Amino acid sequence: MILDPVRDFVILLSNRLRENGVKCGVSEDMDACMALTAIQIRSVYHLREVLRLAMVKRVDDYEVFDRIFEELLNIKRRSETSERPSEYMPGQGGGEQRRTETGGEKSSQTITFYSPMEMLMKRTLPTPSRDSFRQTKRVIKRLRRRLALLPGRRNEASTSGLLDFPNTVRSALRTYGEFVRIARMRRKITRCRLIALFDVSGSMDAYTSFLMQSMYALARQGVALEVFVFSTKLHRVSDLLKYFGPKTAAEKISQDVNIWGSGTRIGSCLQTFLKRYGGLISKGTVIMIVSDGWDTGEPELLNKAMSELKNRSGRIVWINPHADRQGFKPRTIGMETAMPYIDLLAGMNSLQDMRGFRRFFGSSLQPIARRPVVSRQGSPALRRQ
Amino acid sequence: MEKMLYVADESMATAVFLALRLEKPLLIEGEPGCGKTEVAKVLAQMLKTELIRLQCYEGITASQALYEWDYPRQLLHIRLMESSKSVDEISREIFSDKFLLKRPLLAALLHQGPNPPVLLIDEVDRSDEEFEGFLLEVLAEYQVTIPELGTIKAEKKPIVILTSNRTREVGDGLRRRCLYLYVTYPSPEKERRILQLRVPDLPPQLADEVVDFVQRLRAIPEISKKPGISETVDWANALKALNAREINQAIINSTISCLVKSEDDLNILKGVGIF
Repeated sequence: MILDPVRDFVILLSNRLRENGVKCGVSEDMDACMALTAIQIRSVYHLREVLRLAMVKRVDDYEVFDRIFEELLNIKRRSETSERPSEYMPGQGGGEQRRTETGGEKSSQTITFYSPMEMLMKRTLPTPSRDSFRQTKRVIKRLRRRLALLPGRRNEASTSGLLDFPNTVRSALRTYGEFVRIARMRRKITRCRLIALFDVSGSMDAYTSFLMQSMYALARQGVALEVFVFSTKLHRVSDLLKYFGPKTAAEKISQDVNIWGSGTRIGSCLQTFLKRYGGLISKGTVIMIVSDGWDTGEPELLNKAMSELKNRSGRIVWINPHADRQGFKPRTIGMETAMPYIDLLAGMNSLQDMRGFRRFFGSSLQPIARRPVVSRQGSPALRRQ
Repeated sequence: MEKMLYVADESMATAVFLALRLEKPLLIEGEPGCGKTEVAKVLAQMLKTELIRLQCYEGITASQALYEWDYPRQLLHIRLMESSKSVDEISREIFSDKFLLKRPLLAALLHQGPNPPVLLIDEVDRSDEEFEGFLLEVLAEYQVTIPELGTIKAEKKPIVILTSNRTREVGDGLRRRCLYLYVTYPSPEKERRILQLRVPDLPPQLADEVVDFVQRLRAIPEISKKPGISETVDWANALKALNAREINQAIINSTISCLVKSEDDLNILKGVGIF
């Protein structure tokens, strides 16, 4: 049997965790309680270890957990020393939270609550609308099919691979039940892992609604998808887009991501991406970069990042809003540097609706063949020097 | 655990203990080379039971993880029995245990023995989302359904350990069903202890130097692939093989390949002046 105060503490803790965006449900509470009965707790440190093990399921949430645990412990200690109930006793209203900086220090006098949101430069972003959302979603579904690199669940006939039992038997009927031909099959290439990087710098301001639209539609495709935004810094926004409705998502992003409308450093952002999220990339990954290529960083950095990206990923698609115009030439320094590594350069129209998509990508469902050779010489801009 | 040459800190020991007591799978995430897979191996040794390992990779399918009918042998068998037996008899025969190829998951469920087996599902992040979804049923109920044979339920729940390198985020569904532990690089003391156990012949003073050097390497932020514990042990073994007394520039130059495994990182080290 578990003691009541301990159980209350667990429930309090999980409530606070939930308030702070850690996914912690009833089953986690039960686990925690069961764990506490199963094990003999020797110290506060040990208690934290056990509770964390049962209640927190990702390493990013460890920090939040540690803070909240500390807070609650402080409250408990205070209420034990002084008889009067603490005014910050949670459960009487979480509205009494006090905001602190994310990395803020804790004073011993006041009890401060941790909040994961960092309030910074605020900027209202347009909410993706339902109609065009549907359009974009269709387009992106098609796009993933056309860019596919990975085998899906369906099979196609092939000369090598697994034995295709039904077909073998069917063809045996032709020869009066004698197995002459062994049919084989392999997995059809229908899927890819898509990682989209959106440029949200000042020069892309005119296309903000398009960006939001396709970002949202992309993230909502569900599996095997990651969305990042970058300008001077890189931000991962997949989770925000995935778990909230269009309106809340737009609000959350405009709140949390304070890099909207600043300058661009594509090279260093891609470097950060490679370093921090390099594990996401494999040969089955398609990298989609949406940017106009106006870059204030060093082209060498971009060159290096692009070549590494090219070597490690399956293919690179660059969406440039200006590429729709007649007679477009990749003249910006960023574009020139990146061009040798890009497998496919498309305009924005091709992603906005099905018509544009068909005009650019065709109506076939077959995956586009991978571009074979990569120029090792780097970009013309760099060669000239 | 130390008898099996594994140094577990308190959180790891607690995690394993709880996984055994609560009969829940344990999901271990962390940097490469920090002993995630080793936990399962050591656990199997400790409990004196079999380790069944399922290595996940991109495009792994349920049939490769669970079971498969041995089609070629079934075909042969049909031919042999065709004249002598009736259709019913044949179908009963060919869909029997004899022609079932047991893949790791089914093998773990059907395991016969005094102790439940340890099932290691390695690098689950490399598999596709669909496969992960399929794992959910197996891990929650410890049962699988084979249409021809019926539902198979594990007599003894296997001890399941999943590992992930975070090449992609493992889904929430899977996380919810597991206990979760994140492991990272060890503290100098722990690493020294590991070296003592794993490379016992190494002079203690050299071991100190080794640990010191590796910890310094990990502290360099630019390095993309930081050396894990397995690299440290490799390096210590290499030093022992070379009969090194101390770590000097010549020794580092000839053995750095044990620790640093990419050209870019080597260049960075050159820039910092370590190598």
